Amino acid sequence: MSADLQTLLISVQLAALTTLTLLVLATPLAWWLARSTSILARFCIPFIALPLVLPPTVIGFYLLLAFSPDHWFGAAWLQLFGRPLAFSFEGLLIGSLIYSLPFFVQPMLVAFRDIPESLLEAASTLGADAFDRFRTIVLPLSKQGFLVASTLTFAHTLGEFGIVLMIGGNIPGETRVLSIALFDYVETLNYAQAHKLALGLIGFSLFTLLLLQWLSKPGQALLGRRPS
Amino acid sequence: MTFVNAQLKVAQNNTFILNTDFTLPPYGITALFGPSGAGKSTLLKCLAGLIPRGICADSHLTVGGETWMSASAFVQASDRSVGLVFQQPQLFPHLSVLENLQYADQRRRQASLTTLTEAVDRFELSTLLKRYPNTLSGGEAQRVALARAVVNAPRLLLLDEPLTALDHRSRAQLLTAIHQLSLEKNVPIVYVSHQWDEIIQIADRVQMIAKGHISRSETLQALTTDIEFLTKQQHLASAILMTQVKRQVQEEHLTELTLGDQSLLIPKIGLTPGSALRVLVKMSDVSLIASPSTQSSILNTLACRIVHIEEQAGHALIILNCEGQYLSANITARSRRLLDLTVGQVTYAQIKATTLGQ
Repeated sequence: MSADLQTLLISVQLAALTTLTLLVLATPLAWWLARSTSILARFCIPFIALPLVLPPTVIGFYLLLAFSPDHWFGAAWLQLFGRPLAFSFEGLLIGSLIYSLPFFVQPMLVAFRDIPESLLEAASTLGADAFDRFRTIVLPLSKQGFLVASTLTFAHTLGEFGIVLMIGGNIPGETRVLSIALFDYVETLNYAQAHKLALGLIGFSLFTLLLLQWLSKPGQALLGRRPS
Repeated sequence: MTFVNAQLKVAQNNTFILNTDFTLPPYGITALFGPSGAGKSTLLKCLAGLIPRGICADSHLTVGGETWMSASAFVQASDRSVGLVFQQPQLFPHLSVLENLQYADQRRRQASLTTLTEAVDRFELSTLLKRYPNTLSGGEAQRVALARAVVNAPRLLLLDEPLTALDHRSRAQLLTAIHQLSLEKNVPIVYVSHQWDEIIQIADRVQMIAKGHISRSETLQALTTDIEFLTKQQHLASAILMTQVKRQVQEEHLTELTLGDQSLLIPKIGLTPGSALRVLVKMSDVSLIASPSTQSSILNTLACRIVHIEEQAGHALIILNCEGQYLSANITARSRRLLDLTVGQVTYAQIKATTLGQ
């Protein structure tokens, strides 16, 4: 397998796993944030949005410290799984989850808040309990939100650079992803290869954004809304 | 006989927005009548279990012998089998009409009041089944909402101003459907409205609510013969006459009704002789004459006694007692002088047959 293909595979794997994990873990979180009136929920939103404004290197730096076997978290991981988190694919995944969380939660918040409470009340008077309501009313009505959130998360993870650089290292077949490979090609003045990767990423990103534009409801600007 | 026994207390910001005790029998339509902001919707939501337990903590509610709310119990909305139809139909937009009905059918807790097919017929939905809610008119959507609630086999059917958003024709149609449902099926209905003319057409009992408290609970009969209530509340713009079908006048497409010793003709309706029928008489359709006339296009002339006259700015509100029931006329003060109308006098009320309806 060529080195570039291997890099592509790692990148896609990381993006897909990040998206899937967020689908499972961040969906309930977004539902809670969208529906809860508690102070805790209001307090949580800025923390989730933090990666939107912080330089990725800041998050990468603190993650790197936490992943170190000297830190309780890194030590516990090493104890549990027998291999360190730093410079591993799992470490990269954890970093991606944190970094991409707002890109998943934000469209889901919009989608969930669009569902009128009165529809859920109607469903409960018809005998649907909370899980039933979520499955039969909330999921189908926020289908578009899920599509947007997943696509955005996938594309965003694929283009991630700063965090990967800090915590992933550059291990071929393990943590070497497209954006890093591109950086390497430029460093070694291999512009022909750099063009191939860069143009490929531009093409993919444009395709994704066009897809998103098509999926978005009119008036719901793609980059406009931030979590409130 | 008591089916629902309720002591409801709902507090918001340390003040009660609802604090009242009442009972409901296991059949018939109880109208909850009061101004907006009186707590009508809150009361229904509380019965349905949609008010969080935290703010209705001291409430007590038993329905058909089961405790739904008490100091130690709180049955969730989804376990109560209460049908609730709101002002807006609240149909599930991603499901077709048929799927909306099936959603309710699949989740019912007891034997159905009506089968799905029967409900489709009753609410005339057979041509709408494949359509989606956003393609329905207001009246059609509300018919689906009612059918959906009924198919779910509720033990209690709560209707929160279900006709408010509808045009005149759809209102009349749905009102008849609701009344018919109550006559044929054993389900107690609570009907919230601030429209007196809706209430007198279908209610069996009326509970007056103001400031979160039910101040009066009466049979409709008692209220429509309570002259003090009627004049004070100005509720006579429409009156109701409780009649019985006497016979069909086939050749003239009319139905003759009995009202005490007198009779009334209305456009033909398909009821058998002996059936009870409420006739709505709008104040604006009643005119008065001094002696019964035979030379008039108006078919109905009822002998009445004047019980009350109220004059105001050139108008006179005349309340009439006809065979123990009340109706009213609004005439000019000048006509009153010309006819020389006084309390206690017998006069004749003319009512156009074509304006009379159920």
